[in-house]
Amino acid sequence: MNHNWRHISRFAAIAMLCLIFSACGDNTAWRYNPGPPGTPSGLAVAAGNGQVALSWSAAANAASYNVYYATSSGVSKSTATKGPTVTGTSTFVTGLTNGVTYYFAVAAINSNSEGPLSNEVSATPTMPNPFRQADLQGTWYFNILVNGADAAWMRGTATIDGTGTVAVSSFLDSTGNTIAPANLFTTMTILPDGTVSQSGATDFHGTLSNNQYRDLLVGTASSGGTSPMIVILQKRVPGVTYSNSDIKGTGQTVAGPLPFVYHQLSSGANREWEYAAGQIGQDQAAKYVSINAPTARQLPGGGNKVVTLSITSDGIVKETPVAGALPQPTALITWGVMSADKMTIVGTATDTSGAFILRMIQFIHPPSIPLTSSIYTMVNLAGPYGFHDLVNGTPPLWAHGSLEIDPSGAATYASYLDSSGSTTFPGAFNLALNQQGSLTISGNTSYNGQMSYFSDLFVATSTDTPGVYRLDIALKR
Amino acid sequence: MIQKRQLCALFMVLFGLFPPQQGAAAAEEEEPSDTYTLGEVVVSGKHDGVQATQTVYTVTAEDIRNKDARTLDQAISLLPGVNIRIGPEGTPRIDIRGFRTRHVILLLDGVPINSAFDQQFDPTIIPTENIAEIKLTAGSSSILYGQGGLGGVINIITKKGITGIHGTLSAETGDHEPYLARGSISGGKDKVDYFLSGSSSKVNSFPLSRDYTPTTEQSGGYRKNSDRERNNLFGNFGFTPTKDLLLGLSFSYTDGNFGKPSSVINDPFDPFASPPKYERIDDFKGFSIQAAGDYAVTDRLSLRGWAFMNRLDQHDNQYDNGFFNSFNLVAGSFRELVTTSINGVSLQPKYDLGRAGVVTLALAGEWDNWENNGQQTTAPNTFAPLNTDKNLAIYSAGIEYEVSPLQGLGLVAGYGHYWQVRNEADDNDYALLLGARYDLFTGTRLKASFKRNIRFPALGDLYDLPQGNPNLQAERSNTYEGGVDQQLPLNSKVSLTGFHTIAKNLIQNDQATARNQNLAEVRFTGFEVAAATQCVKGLLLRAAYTYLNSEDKSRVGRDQLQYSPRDKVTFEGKYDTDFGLTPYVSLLYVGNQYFYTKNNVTPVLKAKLNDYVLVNVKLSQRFMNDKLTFYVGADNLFDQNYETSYGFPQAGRFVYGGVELRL
Repeated sequence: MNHNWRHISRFAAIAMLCLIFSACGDNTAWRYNPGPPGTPSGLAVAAGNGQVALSWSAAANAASYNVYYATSSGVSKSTATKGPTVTGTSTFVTGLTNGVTYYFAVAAINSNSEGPLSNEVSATPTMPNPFRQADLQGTWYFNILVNGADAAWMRGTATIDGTGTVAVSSFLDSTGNTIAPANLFTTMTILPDGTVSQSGATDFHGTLSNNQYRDLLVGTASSGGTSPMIVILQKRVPGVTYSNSDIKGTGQTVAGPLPFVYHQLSSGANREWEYAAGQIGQDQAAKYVSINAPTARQLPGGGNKVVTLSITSDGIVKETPVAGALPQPTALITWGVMSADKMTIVGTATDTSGAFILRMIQFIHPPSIPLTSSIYTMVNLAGPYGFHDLVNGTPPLWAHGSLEIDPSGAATYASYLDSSGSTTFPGAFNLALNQQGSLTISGNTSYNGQMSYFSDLFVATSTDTPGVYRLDIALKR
Repeated sequence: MIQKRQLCALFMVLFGLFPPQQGAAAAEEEEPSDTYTLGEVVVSGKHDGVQATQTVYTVTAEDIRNKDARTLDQAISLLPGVNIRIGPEGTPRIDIRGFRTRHVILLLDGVPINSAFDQQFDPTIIPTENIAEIKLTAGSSSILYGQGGLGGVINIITKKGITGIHGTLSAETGDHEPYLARGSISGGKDKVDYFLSGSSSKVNSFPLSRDYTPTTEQSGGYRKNSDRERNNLFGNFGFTPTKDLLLGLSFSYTDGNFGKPSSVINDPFDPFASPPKYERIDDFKGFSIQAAGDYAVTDRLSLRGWAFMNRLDQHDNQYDNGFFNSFNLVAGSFRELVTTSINGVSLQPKYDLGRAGVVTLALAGEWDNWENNGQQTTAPNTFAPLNTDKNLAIYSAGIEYEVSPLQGLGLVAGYGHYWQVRNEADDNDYALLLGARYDLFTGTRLKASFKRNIRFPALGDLYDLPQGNPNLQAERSNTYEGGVDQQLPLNSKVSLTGFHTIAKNLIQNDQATARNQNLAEVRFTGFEVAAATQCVKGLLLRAAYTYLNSEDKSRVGRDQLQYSPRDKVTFEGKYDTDFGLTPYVSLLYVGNQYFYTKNNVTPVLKAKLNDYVLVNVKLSQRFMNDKLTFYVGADNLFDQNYETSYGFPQAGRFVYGGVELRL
């Protein structure tokens, strides 16, 4: 028995040494520390109707940004109202009172801490003014799809001065021409209701969007007097800068991958519509979830990432193929123009069959803001719209007019004109809207549209009659 | 640090505290069961055989009882070359010499338990009450095991009934562990034997260390979503109609559910951290059955064979958030029923050539199936189907020759050819084994081996959307190892094994194409030192050190393979007193392991996981002629706050107690 206790005591000594040895480990888990974030700079603000739009330059080491605002100057983190936390370098602050001056500042944050406040700016939200000639003034990017005998795409940059005179500063078309046709654009005039006309171009009819920035102008006309075309101009808004955070997802813990849809129409060799849906990951690589057209399409990438997006500080988006990903999309956008609200990209291209396409890409929600059920509602859809259509029929047509949508989705025409001279209203129809903003019409399974996040436009494609394909762009007035 | 090194060195001289006693031998607890030998794939005959040329570690039922190991991973965690990791997948992963779980073959009485989907396995659904012994072969292994197993093979051999009727009942409870109940009954008479066991356990959650720093995702106290319920039933029956024929039938059934604790780091801009996932296996059911036979056709020719079926159904659900009550709001959430099955047959004729050696053939066919039914949320209230039904077949033909041409010298050579038959493409490749052992002196054995091995891609590698690639080829490895086993006086022994492995064509997700490709290459070099002594009656001491140097040549910016610790030190001690008291202590040190930023982050950054030391103790007292045992114990006695993957804290101090009755 004694030797047992002797051995037990030695065994206990082993246990004590284990205790000492256990001190070999560190009991505080290592965690990544990025260091303190820098200070955002260049904060700019634009007032809207009950809201403002803010944009700023990125701060070093920033993971996201906190927005602070107050109704008196000298915004401080302790006293100001804390607005949305965003991962990009722009956001909207909504729910403000028109006529009240607000003061804004932003601070960068990361897992280490929150950084200092940026410069302070102020703005007074107001009811939207009637459209003025000055709304046309500025630098505009344009994308044009021409149908019919002169089928082509055209794109470039133009400036419009205070008198409405348009000067094209850069041009490229689908044949490689870099010199714009004479009188591509003539002097533009805008009416208080947002209708835009061009001097001497009697069949040109445009609508300027009544969105936050009034930066989208859609019009229809006949190229060379015979070939119908649709024209999309997007204003380069001063103070709005673009970065990679505008074209990538934010991971599961923020808002997930960035979902998108696009609608496009082709002219020339293949005159079909096409719409597709996909999502963009944190690596700016996109994969398609679905693709539809009157004739069958292969899903680009087979469900895998197939293109990578890049963007310049001016908002020009380019798609680059992912090496080895097959099948590749039939068309790549190499010069897509992102809107000032960063929710729409418009581009033109030639696809692998030689057809000319105009594509409108829409993000279903901003990169860092998860979708909620209050965004896409029939109430937000309701309202008066100016619409512009390009129709691939025999003969091809353009059409424009005005449309009224009530909260039940019932759409009725208030005016209509097409390039054949018809003013007969098409039949009324009923729109259905789901929580992702997708629009459908019962009884017409070919119809597919997408409402914009800010409820200021919708884009749709459909088949009127077999072989007649339509692209609709409607801007809320 | 210098002080700690001195203490560590002093610790390793502990054996000197126990002066040797002549003729002493530890008293071993008598087992009421035998070993189900039909469950052994590789059987050593009168020659020492292929296992003598390899590194084989054994864990016995007594070892399992000493440390109160409740699951397979707990039972083998102290073995040299083994590293247990728990990460985002929520289940412990068993790595052997740096190779991941999918490169380890797990057999239960010869029946593969690896998932047909990804060839991984969950060791926590494998109970320990029916285990007679676990044989872990690290590195080079017998050709008879078939393809796969680049890192090694774990063969769980179950208990078998012996003459008479025997039984055990035990119950245990612990911190947030309401119960663990186990029972077995076994027996045998004349030509029949049987063994039946069952267990039922429930864990509400595991405790976190008091030094854990709370986050928004996980507060202190107990780990969220770490509950676990498991029920097991196992049985085997043996029938020996003649002295030349042995037949066996075994089955196992398991069911339960468990949560997969998420990362505690909810920072999307931490370049090292995976985003939290809220995933649970809300229900699983597994069933396997095996019929086996061993027939001595002549005094030289024997035939072993078995047929088996193994199936596992799992309801795998990833929820939107930590409330675990919705799937429809967040892109990426899913719910799916995953069914995998492996059916197979195997035949092993063996011919004893006398002095010319022994030849064993291995002919096997295996049919793997994976079926998925479910849906994934792609946007709020928008779903995509997750329906798949895939299968493949693997056929094996192997031959292994063992001979002892000289006294003390043993040689082994083996060749196996394997075919994988898939719908879109077939593949075939081979494995080669060469091994030798030499008894230099009495008690001194030298051994060396080389193995070229392959592993075919699993069903998930080939077909799991979106990264599956049906054009994948087999992975390959070349392993060189050598070692020495030395018997020492006073019932002691020490062994030293060195190894070098090059593995190529490893399947890995290619960031450029987001598809699986054969593009990874890793290299492992290391050595294992193990020592054991039973120099004093009732005493068992073991110690081991593993050094592993890994090179990850698969990704730019990486050198060492992540989560592959360079150093591992283990110690075990048990002492059976004459009055039935048995103290037990074990120590595990894991150090120098690194990890990297996520795959899509550039530039690549490297960080170090904290080194950690775990000390487990158990004290048991036997009564009534060893029929009744009470015990108390504590795992992680000193409440170490440690992680085996970044952002996944492991259990702090866990205290438990129980009672076992032998009938």
